[in-house]
Amino acid sequence: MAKLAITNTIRIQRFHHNEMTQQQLADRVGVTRQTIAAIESARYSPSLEVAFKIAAVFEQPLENIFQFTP
Amino acid sequence: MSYTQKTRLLEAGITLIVLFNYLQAVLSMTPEAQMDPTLASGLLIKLVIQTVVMLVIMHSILAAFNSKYANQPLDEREQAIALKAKRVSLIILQMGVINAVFAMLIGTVYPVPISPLHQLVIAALLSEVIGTAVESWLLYRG
Repeated sequence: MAKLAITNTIRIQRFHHNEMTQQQLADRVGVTRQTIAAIESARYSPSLEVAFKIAAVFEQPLENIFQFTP
Repeated sequence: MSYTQKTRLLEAGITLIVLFNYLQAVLSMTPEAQMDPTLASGLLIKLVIQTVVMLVIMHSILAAFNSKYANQPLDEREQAIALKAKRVSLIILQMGVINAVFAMLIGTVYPVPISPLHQLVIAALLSEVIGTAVESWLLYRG
């Protein structure tokens, strides 16, 4: 499957947040672990709401988590 | 494997079993028996009861083993995947309806092996099987 133009640093952020697991992040955001895995590997672009929730979990601005590379 | 994925896989399996049983029952009937409304409605009632019982048992067992996820609604990715799968399912159903109408039209001239009513039911079951299978595949792929 083709990768999306939106990349992210979720894996790095999880590492910096005490090796947070995908399940822990999923529980805090309110999605399934599979959805976090899909977002992390750039196979799925989240909605703005989920993107902001992920950024809020890591206490970072949105652009630090998601980058658009045309 | 997520709860939704397990549910869809089992739903596909159950619908496949129901479809197989229905096909077997219909193909074992004579063309005249297929057109009999009493026999057809009996077969449909049996199909509905069989489906409901199997689905209730499946959902109960799954919910018992995955109580954390059983009450959670689908998340946005799962909803998007469900929509895509429904589109595929709808195409199969439309083809089934067109086929049944065509069979009804030519049925007066040429004998068709399965009556249009049963063709419609088979199309509905087949669209459900394919829809849930596509959804499972899309959930697996990510």
